[in-house]
Amino acid sequence: MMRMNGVAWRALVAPLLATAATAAFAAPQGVALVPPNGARFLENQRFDIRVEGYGQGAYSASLKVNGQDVQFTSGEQGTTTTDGVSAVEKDASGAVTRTWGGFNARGFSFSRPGKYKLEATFKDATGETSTASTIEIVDVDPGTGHGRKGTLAKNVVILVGDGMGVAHRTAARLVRHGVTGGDPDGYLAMDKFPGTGLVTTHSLNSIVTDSAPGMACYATGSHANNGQEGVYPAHMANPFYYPRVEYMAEYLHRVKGTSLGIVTSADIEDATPAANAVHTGNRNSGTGICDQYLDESDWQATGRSGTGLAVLLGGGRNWFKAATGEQYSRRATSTDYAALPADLLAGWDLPASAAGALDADRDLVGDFQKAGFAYVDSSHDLQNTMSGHGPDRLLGLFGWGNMNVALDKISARRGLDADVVNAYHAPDQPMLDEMADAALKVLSKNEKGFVLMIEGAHIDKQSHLMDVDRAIGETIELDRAVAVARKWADKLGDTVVVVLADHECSGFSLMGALANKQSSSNPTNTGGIDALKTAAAADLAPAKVVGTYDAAGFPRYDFTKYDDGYPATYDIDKKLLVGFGASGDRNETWLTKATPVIDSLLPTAVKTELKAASYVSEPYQRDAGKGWVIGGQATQQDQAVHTATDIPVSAYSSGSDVWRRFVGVQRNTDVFFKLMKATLEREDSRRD
Amino acid sequence: MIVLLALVALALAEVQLPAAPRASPVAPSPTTDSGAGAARTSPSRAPRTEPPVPLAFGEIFAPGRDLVLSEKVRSLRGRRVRMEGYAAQMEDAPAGAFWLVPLPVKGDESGGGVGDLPPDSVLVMVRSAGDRPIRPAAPGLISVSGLLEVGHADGAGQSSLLRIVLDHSAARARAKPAQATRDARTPPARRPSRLP
Repeated sequence: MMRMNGVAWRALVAPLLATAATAAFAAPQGVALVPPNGARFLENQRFDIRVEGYGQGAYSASLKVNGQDVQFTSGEQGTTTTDGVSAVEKDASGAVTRTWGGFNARGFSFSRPGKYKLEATFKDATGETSTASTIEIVDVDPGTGHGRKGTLAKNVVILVGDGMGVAHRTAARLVRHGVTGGDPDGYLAMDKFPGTGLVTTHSLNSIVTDSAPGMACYATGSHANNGQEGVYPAHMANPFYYPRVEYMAEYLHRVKGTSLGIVTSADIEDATPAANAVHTGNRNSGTGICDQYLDESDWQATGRSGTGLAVLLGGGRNWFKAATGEQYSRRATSTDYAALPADLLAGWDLPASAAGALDADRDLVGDFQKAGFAYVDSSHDLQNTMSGHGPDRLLGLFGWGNMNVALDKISARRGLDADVVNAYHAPDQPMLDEMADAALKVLSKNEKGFVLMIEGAHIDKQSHLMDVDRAIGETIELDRAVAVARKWADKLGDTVVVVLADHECSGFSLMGALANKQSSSNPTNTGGIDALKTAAAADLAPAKVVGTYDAAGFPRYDFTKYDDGYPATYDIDKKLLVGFGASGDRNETWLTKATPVIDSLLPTAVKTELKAASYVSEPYQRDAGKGWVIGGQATQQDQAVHTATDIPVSAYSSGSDVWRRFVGVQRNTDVFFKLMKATLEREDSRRD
Repeated sequence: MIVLLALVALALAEVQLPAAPRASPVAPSPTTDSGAGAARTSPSRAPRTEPPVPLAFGEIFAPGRDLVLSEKVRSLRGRRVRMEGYAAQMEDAPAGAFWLVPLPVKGDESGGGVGDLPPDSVLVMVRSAGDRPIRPAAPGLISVSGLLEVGHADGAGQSSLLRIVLDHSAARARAKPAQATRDARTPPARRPSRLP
């Protein structure tokens, strides 16, 4: 049985096209069929089918599924305009160089498991090209319904450490707890999850993924191209029109009535948060992404479509303020979309209000509030709003762009240095664990369950920048959120929690610790962190600084001075030292990168006065000419890169043994099916 | 072929590094960077109708939670201003422009490619660069002068609220690409030796 547009129908006879032999020297080019070969979907999971290509003259196409003709929902046969939203490419002078034709079948799903062969032809004036793909529908056994309760899991919590590999976790454990006599003195919250496995991280078009498909594969079960989320690649006029694949949250919301929560320390438009709810072929389309969070949330509570979004916490306030007058905003038509195709709206059962509009002047905060969301923009606001019963829906935008990293937020909270948070006009930002706690309090009100994604976003960013101390601080912050998630899982029951990453970043390598080495130029140097702070560049060579093997010893950080879960300082004697296997160029001082001097915020008259007094604005430390220059292995730019390394997964489940399913080596898309089955199957369901 | 232009070499007459103080007991100032040496020696030859008004980042927004432009900024619409800041290093550099920011920033693709920029970032348009990306070569503070544009606009592939159209210099327009490219590739002489 095939379903389209929510209605069961048998094969409709499409105009049969004469299968013409492909012309010897001409045929349509770029012919592609999505979903691609090997794609997998859950029973009744929605997806779009698209056939496209380019060539000469009028275009036509056909589609068969297991030999039965299928009618397209858009794409006029025998025309060059076809669906009206396929790409028209132009050169610099504006002349058309290539006109794509596209034919879509929106909102497909299969209720019967098994393999299905999709066959398509694309024809133009010169000939015809055929293509095919085989997809698989994965079965779900709902069980008999007898037994102690409902499904194995009602709630799903996914914690993503962006860029977090095994070494990041080991570094965080070592810094947080220390090691004595060969044994860790304590373990991270994620270490204590019983189900440990490895996950591959490749995307649809590369062994090395980025964060968009890196998250989307967990949330949809399908691979995507780098830079794309919740869609398959296509050549269309707007990336929001690309052929879609249904998210976990969308499926469970319409099947079970669940809610969705998204929590991140990044700009909320960023790839990892967006790849749980938004369908776009361009991860940078911030205006449209943030609009779609609300427009396709089903805030109207129809239950027919949408994500059930109830919590959205992170940075990115600049996408939510109207770009009008002299108010700061980054909303723009260039990153927006208008008028989603009619067959897309129909195929996905979306209301007319979800069609979209080019509306840089939209007050998106106001619209969220009208939809019943409480709005907060600071840590104190969050605490006040969450006191008592708390809201049923929550929007928190704690930074204008990305939120600041843990090290800088903590410095401000300790009263040591608020320059960075103030420079970003976000002086009062919550920590990730505080955001997670608020999200879980709101989401737990839905008795039908929820899906929550929590991202520690800056592990990746700080690894790109090869800032060891901030990367470790971010991992510690994520682990504090893991502890909160486990506490709630135990309180609620019927909750599965997985901690993983989208990919590893930088080839993070724990190579040793600061050694007490004397330098040839300063034989009286007894080493240690103080000597490092005044060392000449020549004495910062790795051979003179990095204590390897026995010389590494046991770094021990002070967590008692402030008792806030973070070290008093990262610059200690026997400091953990990290190298990078996928590095960029850098000046390495082995010290915590100083917060930059915010000289430019001073009025000019003051700066003039300071300069007269020989005050020098210190540039950012890594560019000050200090440090040992280390050439990059992966790039000659000054940032490290993602790697294709497997990442670890840690799984926990309250009220079931679902966590066992994550033991072993698995594909990243497998994670989606394991989580989905846990929410749909019962104790007596057939196990794979 | 995209030609990468050293920021300092490009803006000989348009961007000036702050003059080094008489006594510099601590680290060398940015102006001792040999790659920036030329920047100190070539004042603009273009005539100026008025001296630029100094504008600090802290003066851009009026006090309040919603960031709204201050009266001072509004009054400077269309006038020449001078600002000191850092040139943000962006993974996706704007075409023919760079972001002037109050603290050193290295931006990646997050947040639509601009998530790491503070709200008071100003897009500096460099007309002579056309649509070529500008990758800053000079660390440390720089001084920028030009006409201030106020209001939301899409320019250089970026959405911005404030823009400075860099003062044009006839002499700069005649700079030889080979010289600019050589300046971009030559690291400062004071850098320590690299590992093999």
